[in-house]
Amino acid sequence: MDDQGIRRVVLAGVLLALTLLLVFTRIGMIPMPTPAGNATIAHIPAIIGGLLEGPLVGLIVGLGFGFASFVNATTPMFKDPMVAILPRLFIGVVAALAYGGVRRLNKRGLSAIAGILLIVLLAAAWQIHADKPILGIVWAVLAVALGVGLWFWLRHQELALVRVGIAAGLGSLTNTVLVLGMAVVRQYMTAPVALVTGLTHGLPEMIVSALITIGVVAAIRNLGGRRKRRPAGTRRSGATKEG
Amino acid sequence: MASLEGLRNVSIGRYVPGTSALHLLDSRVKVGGFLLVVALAAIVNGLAGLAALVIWMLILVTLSGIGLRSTWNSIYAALPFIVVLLLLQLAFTPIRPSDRILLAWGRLRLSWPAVRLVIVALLRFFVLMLAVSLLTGITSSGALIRGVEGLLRPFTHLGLPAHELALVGSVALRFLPLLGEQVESIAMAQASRGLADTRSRWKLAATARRVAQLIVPLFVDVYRRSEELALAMQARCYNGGKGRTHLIQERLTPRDWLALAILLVSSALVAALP
Repeated sequence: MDDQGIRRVVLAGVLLALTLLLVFTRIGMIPMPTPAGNATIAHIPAIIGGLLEGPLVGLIVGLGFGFASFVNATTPMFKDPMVAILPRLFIGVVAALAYGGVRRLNKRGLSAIAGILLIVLLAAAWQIHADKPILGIVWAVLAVALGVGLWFWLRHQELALVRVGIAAGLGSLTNTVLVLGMAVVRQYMTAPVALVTGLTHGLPEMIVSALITIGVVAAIRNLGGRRKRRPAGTRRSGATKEG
Repeated sequence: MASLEGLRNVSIGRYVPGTSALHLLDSRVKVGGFLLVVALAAIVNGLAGLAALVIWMLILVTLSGIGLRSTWNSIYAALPFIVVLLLLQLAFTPIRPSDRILLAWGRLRLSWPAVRLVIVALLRFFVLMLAVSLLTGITSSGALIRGVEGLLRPFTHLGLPAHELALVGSVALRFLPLLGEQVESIAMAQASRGLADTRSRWKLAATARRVAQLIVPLFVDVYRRSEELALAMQARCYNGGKGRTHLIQERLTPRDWLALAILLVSSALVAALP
């Protein structure tokens, strides 16, 4: 096994330990005033594993997260491996692939993608509006807020951090969408309930995990110009070449 | 600050040392059997099959002597939540005209498919709860890793890195108490500087910020530790699973074969039930 392989195995193991810790001590569960109870941040190690060392590490840590939440579950929904484990495999993988895709784009490319996304979301809002007026308006407001937020963020934040944030957000979104989708397929929830849960849990989870991931990756990779460089004595084997 | 105590004692489930016939089984048989039961519980949709599974797991738990108390405690803690969820399920399952109506009371109507769905979800929950506490009760964490590695070993010929996956698992288990200590000390350091441990349901932003303050240093520390461990392994010329021997060699004994046979026959029976 080469050096890179050893690093991957060890980082996967340590992130897995962190996931287990977050799940079993319930540090990773943020209590919420909704029927579904908790928002999770325990999927963040999977995202970080994917971002730092590629899809395979993300997959392994995601599998660990799924297993832990399956073992620790206190509701029938998460005692079903199809809901608890299967969707979690994709968190780190999606984050890693999204990061790989976004990394090649410059500021203009990112803005273009944000613009297209906004148009698609607004079109969807129009469709929903025809059927359920209030939900459509909420959707449109959220879409515009997202667009404006992204635009400000692109202007004022360093590009490397925005990329990390986008990848992390997508990873978190994968978790929300797939878990709730599976819950609907396996008949633990009806589609409207899942949609509302997605809004009340998925959005905060997305924002929180983007922020935490940015904090962590920035600290590890020394991104984000305001930060002081570490003294030369500490080890950072080739970690700065990307970003 | 009571919540900070005991973080270093995290473990997966609760291992109960013992010498019952189930404890003495090969770890591969234990893990394989567990996977079989989980798969069965996910696939079987009939009431009789699931009820048979619950009884079967109860018998096994009794035989193993790990006691039902811990399982019951976790079920008991979740009970109010489950009840609410099931009531919602009862209320919101759409009723088709062809369904048999069990109870009609004003606008409230209970249809048989909805009730059946609820019973199936409950039984499945019980099976999985029992299966998890049985596996973690009779298998130490080291044996768990050995079992997984042993089960994955045939797939190495297909290119699956079984040894590396097992290594990931054992690194994780070894690091778990260390990280627990780390969280404890970060949390105490922050508490001693006046950061209160607020976890209110309504102070959402405050809670999130508080958790982030705990998590980000933890992640960075974790990364540093993993770099150190990787460097140490490289320095000792670690080169993966090829040609590696094991301290504990497990062989399948007649007892294990008997257990496997019982397991397979009983699962076939369960799968055949309506």
